[in-house]
Amino acid sequence: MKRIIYFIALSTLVCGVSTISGCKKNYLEKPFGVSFNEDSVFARYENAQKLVFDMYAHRPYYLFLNLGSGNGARLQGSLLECATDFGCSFRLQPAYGTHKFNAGTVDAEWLSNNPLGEDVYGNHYKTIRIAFTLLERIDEVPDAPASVKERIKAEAQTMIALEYFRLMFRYGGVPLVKSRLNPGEDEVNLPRSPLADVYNYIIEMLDAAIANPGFAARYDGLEFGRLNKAFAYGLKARAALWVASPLFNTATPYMDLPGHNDLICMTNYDPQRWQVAAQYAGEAINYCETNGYAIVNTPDVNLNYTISYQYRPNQGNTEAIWATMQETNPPMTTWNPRGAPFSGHMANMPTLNLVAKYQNRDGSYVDWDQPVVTPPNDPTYPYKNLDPRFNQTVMYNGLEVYPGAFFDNYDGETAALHGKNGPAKTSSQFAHLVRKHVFGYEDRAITKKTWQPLCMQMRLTDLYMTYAEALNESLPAPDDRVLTKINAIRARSGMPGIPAGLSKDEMRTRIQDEWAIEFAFEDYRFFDLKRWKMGDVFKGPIYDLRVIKKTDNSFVYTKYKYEDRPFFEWYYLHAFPPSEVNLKYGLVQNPGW
Amino acid sequence: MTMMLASSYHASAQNGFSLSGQVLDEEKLPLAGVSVNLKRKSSGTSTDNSGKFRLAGAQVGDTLVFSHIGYNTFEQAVSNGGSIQVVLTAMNTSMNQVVVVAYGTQKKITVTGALTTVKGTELAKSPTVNLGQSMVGRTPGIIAQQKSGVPGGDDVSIRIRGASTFAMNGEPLVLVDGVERPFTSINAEEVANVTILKDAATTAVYGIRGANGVILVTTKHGSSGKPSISFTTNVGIQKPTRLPKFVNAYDYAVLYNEAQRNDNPNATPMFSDEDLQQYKDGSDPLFHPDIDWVDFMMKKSTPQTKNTLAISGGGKLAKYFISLGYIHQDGLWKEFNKRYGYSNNTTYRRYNFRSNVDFNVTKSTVFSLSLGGYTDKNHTAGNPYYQIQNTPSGITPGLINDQIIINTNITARNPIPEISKGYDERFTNQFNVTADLNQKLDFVVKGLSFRSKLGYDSYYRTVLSRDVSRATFTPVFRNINGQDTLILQQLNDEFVSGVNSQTFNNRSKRVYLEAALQFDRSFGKHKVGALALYNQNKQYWPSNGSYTVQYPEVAIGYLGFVGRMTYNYDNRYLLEASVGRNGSENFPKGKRFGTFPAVSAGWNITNEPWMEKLLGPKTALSLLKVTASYGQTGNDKLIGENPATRGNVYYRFMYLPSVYEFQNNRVYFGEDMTGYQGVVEGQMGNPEITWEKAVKKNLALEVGLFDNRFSARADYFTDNRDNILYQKPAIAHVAAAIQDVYNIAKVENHGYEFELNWRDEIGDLRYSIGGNYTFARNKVIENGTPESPQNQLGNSLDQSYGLVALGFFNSQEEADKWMLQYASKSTPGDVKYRDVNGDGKVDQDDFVPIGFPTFPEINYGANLSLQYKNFDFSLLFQGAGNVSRVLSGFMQKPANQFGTIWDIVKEERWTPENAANAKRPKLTASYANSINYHNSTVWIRDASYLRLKNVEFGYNFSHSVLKKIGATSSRLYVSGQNLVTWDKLKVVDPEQEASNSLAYPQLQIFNIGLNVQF
Repeated sequence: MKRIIYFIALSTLVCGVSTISGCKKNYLEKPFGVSFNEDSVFARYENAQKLVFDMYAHRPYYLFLNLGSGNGARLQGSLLECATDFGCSFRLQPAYGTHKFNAGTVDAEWLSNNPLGEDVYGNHYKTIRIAFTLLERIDEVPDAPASVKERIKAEAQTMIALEYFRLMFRYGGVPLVKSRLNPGEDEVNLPRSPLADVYNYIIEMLDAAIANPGFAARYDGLEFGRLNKAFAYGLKARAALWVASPLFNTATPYMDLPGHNDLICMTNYDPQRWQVAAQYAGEAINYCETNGYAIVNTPDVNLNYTISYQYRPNQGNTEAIWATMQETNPPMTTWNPRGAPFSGHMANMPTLNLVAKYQNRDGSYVDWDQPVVTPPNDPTYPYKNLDPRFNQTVMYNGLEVYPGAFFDNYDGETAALHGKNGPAKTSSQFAHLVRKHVFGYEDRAITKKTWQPLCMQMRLTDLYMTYAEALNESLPAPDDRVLTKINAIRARSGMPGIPAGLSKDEMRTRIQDEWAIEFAFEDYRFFDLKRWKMGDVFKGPIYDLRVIKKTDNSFVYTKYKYEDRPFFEWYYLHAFPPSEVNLKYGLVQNPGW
Repeated sequence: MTMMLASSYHASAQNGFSLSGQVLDEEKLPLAGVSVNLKRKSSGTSTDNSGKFRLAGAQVGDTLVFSHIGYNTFEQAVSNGGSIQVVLTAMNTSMNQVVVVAYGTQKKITVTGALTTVKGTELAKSPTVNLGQSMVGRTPGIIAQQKSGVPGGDDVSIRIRGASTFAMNGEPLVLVDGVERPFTSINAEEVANVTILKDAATTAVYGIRGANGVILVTTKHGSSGKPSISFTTNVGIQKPTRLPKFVNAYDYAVLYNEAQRNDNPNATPMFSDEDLQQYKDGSDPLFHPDIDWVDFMMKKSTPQTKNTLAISGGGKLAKYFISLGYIHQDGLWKEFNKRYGYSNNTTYRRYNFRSNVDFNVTKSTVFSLSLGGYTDKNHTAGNPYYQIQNTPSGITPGLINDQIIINTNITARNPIPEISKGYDERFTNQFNVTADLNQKLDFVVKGLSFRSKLGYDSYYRTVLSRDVSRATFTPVFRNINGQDTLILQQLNDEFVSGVNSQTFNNRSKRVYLEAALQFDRSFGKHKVGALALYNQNKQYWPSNGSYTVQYPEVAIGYLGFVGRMTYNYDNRYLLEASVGRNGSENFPKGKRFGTFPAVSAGWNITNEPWMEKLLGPKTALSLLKVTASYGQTGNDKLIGENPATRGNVYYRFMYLPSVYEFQNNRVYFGEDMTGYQGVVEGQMGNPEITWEKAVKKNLALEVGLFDNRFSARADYFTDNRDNILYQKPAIAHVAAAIQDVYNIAKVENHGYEFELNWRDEIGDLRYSIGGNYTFARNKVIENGTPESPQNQLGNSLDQSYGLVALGFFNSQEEADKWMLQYASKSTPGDVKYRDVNGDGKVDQDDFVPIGFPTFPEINYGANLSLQYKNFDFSLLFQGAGNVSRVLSGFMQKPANQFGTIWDIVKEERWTPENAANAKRPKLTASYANSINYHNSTVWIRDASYLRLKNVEFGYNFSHSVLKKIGATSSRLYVSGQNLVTWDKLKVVDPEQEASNSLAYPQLQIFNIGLNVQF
């Protein structure tokens, strides 16, 4: 026994001694081969391509269809239209980001530096950094052909332009980084550049990308979703439209920013800018139409609209220029109607302000100012003749959403009740529900069909509208070229054309309404209202319908004012994140914030 | 521990015989003034200056009692007359106590640094399962916060002398028997003592890892003698200290309608008059129920048991201590899933074992082999606390005929599915081996010795789980035969899975090696000590539940060298110098090693010969000692936010540049929509990175009065951190790079500690009373971020910032007259904020520090113990001050998304009628208006508290009883934990960290225990 112990003791002793002698030099060194650095990225095309993919990590995406799952769902799943006169997010779910706009309590840090806010200022520069890294080093990749490298360069340039555009329409002039910055070596405390410089740099980058023969007009199949030359053309038009529009195309900005007005406007009014926008839009349309793009125009006027923003090219969507994607089969609960069989939350609801903009198929309007009484058992009576795009955009009381499933969204004539599992308009708040983007998939829970929502970023009709608007503004009175473009959009959805002979101002209103309807809930209206400097529209009043089912099974639709909303003039441009301004390197905050 | 060394006796006459003897202390020096009494008589005698005594009138069967202040009382049965020699052992409070220090032990009188020791017996008084909790309040300088009382998940976060660095990087180093190990799962009955090292003098030898203080846990070892068997059993009842109180269904409906009306007077109220009536009269228990969910789901109390069997003893060859422990702790949930064959309650079982054996291999060689560890089983089902707080009382009746009822009209909530979703069983095995070799090398140089230590730990965890998804039903009316008939329509299918086994963060291994040469020798009154030590530490497969580790496949390594010199002249002048030289993998070559020196000195003034001349021989002053220390320690650890995943990550190899990581699904492309992997640029690496530096000073004064019946110690300390590793010095977003880790921040921490004790006896009553008090305040001097109202330097690390509320607007006119707040106009019932910077508007630029830090600046404890004949009694009070709680979540936002409403909201909310007493703004249902929910003084609450932490009342059975069962001693006791709490927070337990109280409650424990020794 004692010997054994002695043996163990001795070996411990030896152990102890050997630790001192054996104290290895590399004891604290990281073993070779664990790290993967930038040289490894550009050592093989397979890896470099992953950096190209990563450049898209912060791509624009506005269709977070359910409450933020913690991965940075913008606005926690409410559609930005709900911050305008067209919508309202479900009020009893405070997480929806658009409530802050409705209540006028937008706080700057949330707005522009929060993954659950409207924008993350720093992400734009992250993307720009990757794009410059690619431009700087993609030529080093040994196993990729030159044509692929050229394409990646054009893609990176288009991405830089896109990110500066996304910054420009939110913030005005921003710090202009034209290369990859290395903290410690390069100056990173850059001031804001004038708006005009940012715009010019956008055009410069896009022109460079367009001039690149390695850049194709479209990428379909597995590469659908990658930037392409058609988008570069289209973005030129879109950027030009922005600087031509009233918000920027002026000598007197929406608020005075002493000494720095060049950061928030073009410093003069120049009607030429409308002509440039029209010209760029014309060039873009021409480039697209000679390279295989065409507006969707199947015989089915009740579906063309949906095809144009929801379908993929191989499903017949010929007008999608660029779209992004995020999720397969996202939960629909928050979007679904309340009550059986949907048991959803009615997260995003259109206001009557939007509904009233839809014309009947003969061009007339429904008179919502008077209570509408339906015949017994015919709840959809007032909606029957509306623009086919309405049915593809909005759910309304009595709609048979899919066979056997009716959207019952009314209150009983007597007291509303919890517990009889009846329809509960009270807890839904609004009479209408957004249907766009879920259209055709409402029965997903039953059919289990795969749903991969497409977040359309640019389609050919957008360029038509840009062209029409810019041309109308640059002419003394609209001509046939304006009408052709708009009416092509209306006709493919079965709507009559806008008559000739309207004045420039009348035409402007019609163009704005057409933007509103054709691009409803596609992230346009919030920024378009600002672009047109129509801030007062945000104020409402916001209208809804009260829907009462009478004991004789008829329905009464009564318009009522839901609320007024504030709009402050400083809302025209986003605030820079206060945390960034507080770094005190000289970043000028936008006025009012 | 008292020993009778020798006894000889003489026969005497019938009327008693006389006894004589000598009383010595442990160093065999005579003890004067020891009282020697015969138990049955009140009279006795005391020892003279040579420790001798003589006592007449003793008889066979008498018991002699030796007692002396500062020493353990010793009883000796008289079998015959004669001369006896008795050795009294000093109580541990005495200055003669030997204390554990870094890499060794020292006599307390010679200690020059700041450290405190808590005895295992003290810790064992707390009827808690977690050792960390037992330490709260017992000693100054240690601050522990317990976040939850859930069985198996009730860990405490510990800071020594407050925080001096950011968040999780401030945790102290914990060593169990000299090896870095977790300690909270150790059975308190296995612990000899816990020592807390607080200043640079005591921690510099730990160098790069010592800055946050060090906790040394020493387990028990055997002592020579017959085998002694000790068995302890405890049975306790646990109850929540405090449970949340929510409004009933009727009040909820009324308040909800009020909230909705506040938001938009045009909106139709959620609850009609008919609804309200039904909630009020309870006429419709199906659709208008009124359920108190806390009561529905939780038991009033639940049991726990603790049992320990320990055997110790020793002979010539070996000494041993062997212990087995078993703990069982039940949770508070009621059972809802018996028919699925499992319990949904949370339970925790733990088996602890320890075997510490010391072999005397040769006369100069001791080899110790310590095996310790535990295996536990933590059974958890869902934690429905969140659901309970999210389910108002009027939504669903919960269960009908054991079927889960979901009413979808308002919100489809019910907490029962959460507790019914199956269970996890986590099995943990922790096995620690420590092998120590001590070889005296007196044959080489007198006083020289060599020792080495090998530590090997293994940790393994598996989880068995079972998923259950119970069917839910919704009540609907169907027209059957012309009658509205209620049926329960099934909403989803029932699903019960088999048992799955999963392992995650599941294993780790640690190998620790240490070798040292030590020299201790006296030259007359000069005592010299020296230590040279080398150690290395590698942890393989590092894992931690609360953060991920970069490069988990690479072992975490540390290297260290330690040197220490001590000099002591006559226990009067004390000098110590120590140095730690450590290397960390986190830093580049050349910056990898740090040298951390410390010096300290002490002066025992009472040992000066002139003191006796000055004060006379009968002075009340028995101890006067001053010590001072100064030195440097370091910290190499950074647990920060991973910018990509937003989780916490343990940074490693911080000098390595531009690491790219692969991440899946960074983008989706293709008509078929496929996710593509991206490669993400990581931190840029900082070739200049090096350790965080802590410069610590400590000044202490110790006073003993009346033969040390009164003792006191006061410390003043500073801990100035520089080069703090910090991950986000903000730079302009345009750089768009993930910033390096920098040595950039600077924090100053200072404070003081007091400890007072008085112990004495009055007749048979022995008592002691004591208290401790710690104040620590830190200030952020620099954090790499420009100063702004939201980042004001000079305040605590845990300081909250926000707006100053001036009250509430009581009318629209008042609101209109006020300036814009966050660029918006206010309405009555909104908070009116102060425009601190005077720029005519209220926004984040008006932030000021509000309230106290969220980590208490003041911590204190007070204890009382009494011993009378066979009875003993002890009390421990513990409290914290200068601490604020910021209300958040449910506490701040009632009725949020149909969440519940706390009872207190009824009184505190603003209404036109309650405007004068309002403490929170008007209710809102939509929370669309966020103006009232910015950080502000409205949401700050005083979280200071005082609580009766621990009470124990015991009875020691007399010898006559013990004889019958053959025991040597036996004690029966009752004890309690967290019995009374005095605080201002009222709504949740003041110690609970979660501000919105989404946690399992803190526990109150009533315990009864029995200890028998054979």
